Amino acid sequence: MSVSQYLPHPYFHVKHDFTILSQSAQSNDVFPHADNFLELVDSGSKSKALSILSEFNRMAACELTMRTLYSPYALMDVSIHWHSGEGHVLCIEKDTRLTELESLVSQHRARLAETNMELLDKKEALEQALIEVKKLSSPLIEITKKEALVPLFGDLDSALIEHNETPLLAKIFEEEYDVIHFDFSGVGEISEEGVSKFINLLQKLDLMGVVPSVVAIKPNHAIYLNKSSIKMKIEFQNSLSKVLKKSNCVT
Amino acid sequence: MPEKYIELSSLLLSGNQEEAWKLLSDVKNSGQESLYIYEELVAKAMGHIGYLWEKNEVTVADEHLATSTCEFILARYQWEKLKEQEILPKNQKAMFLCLQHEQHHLGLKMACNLFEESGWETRFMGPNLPLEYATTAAKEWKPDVISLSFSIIYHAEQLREYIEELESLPNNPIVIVGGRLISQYSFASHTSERTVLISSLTETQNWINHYPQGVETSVS
Repeated sequence: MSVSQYLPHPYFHVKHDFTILSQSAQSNDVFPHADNFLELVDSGSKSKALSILSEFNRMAACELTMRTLYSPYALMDVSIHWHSGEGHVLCIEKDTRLTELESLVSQHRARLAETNMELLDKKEALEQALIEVKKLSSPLIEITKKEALVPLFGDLDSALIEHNETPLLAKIFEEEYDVIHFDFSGVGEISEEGVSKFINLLQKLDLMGVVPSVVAIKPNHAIYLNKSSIKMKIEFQNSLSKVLKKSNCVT
Repeated sequence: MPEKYIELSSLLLSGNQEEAWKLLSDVKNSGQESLYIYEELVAKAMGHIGYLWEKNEVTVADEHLATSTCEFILARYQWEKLKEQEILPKNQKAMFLCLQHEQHHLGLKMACNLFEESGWETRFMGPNLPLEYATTAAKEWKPDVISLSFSIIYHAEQLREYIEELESLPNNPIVIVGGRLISQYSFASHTSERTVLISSLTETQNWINHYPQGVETSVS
């Protein structure tokens, strides 16, 4: 009995056409039965095996995908030594730790993709919530049959006006108000685009024959409003209580 | 001067993200469309790396490095593309996944990008997705299209089960099966009459172009 029988890796002794003459005990544990070594090579690796392991290369080594007892495509480092027309083939499976690492990397990738997706979901939900908040930030409240109040909340930016302009104008037209008071008490920051959209809204009201009134402007708001050229009649009031008194709502 | 895809393959194999991106971005800036970039440059570069493995010039470990480098430049390309190009949303959703144990996902990623650039909402679930996860995700998100991919023939055994389960979801999604093996083998016994089989990115783009633009109600 040859000592090759006891090699700690699968070993095959083959003829020039790869017919198996003998194999190590380890080969029996790893590979299914085959008469020819090429039967154990995956179809995708066959032409590589034939070209690299050919008898023309006395000694050669390459990676091959092989059919084992536990996997239809196990990656092996295969080396061959041709001697007197017969080949001695050793198959060493690629380090399984590499496979474990690959699977870990793949899990991390999946987790990253998932987190990404979750973030995207949250971002979309947040954007929707922001629109809702903006829509609720300029309600129209009737003071008298002729006057109504629009308290603005949050930052006066273009989004605040864009999300509310159409429903506000429709409601004002429907109820035939003469004066609309925009209350700035709850306004935080102001942006130039926001002011320009706001002035635009006031001009539309003016065209509709409604007198716009701006209430409780703070000093930092005044700077912005002053910058824009307002060429129409706007009433400015310094506090909401004065407006309500004028409207005979407060005794 | 070597072909661009060969140049790209050697940059991918060396893990040179910056130079690989530069090459891709130069081709993009020369006015080439995504389909050309994906099919003629990226897919051919990866195909060439497979050829080099067969010639025993690179190892599977080198291929892994090339794949992750390629993944990076594809993500960057898509990000730039979506930033520059105005995309009209189509209100159609497509989900992408590889069958369980299948790790080759670059082709699927490029198909996903083509859908996205055509205005589809997309979800890329990545490689190796067990059927139960795919089903749960699809039940919740209700995609119009579910695209499956595999490139190792042994993974085709699960194909029938994936198709049967996903095609029978309540919102009747269209299941597309893609991959290079589609043109090499017959999968008729694994698929249904409704299943769409696609073997290249050009076919993917054609399919997208001919898909109805959502359901519109017209009263005459």
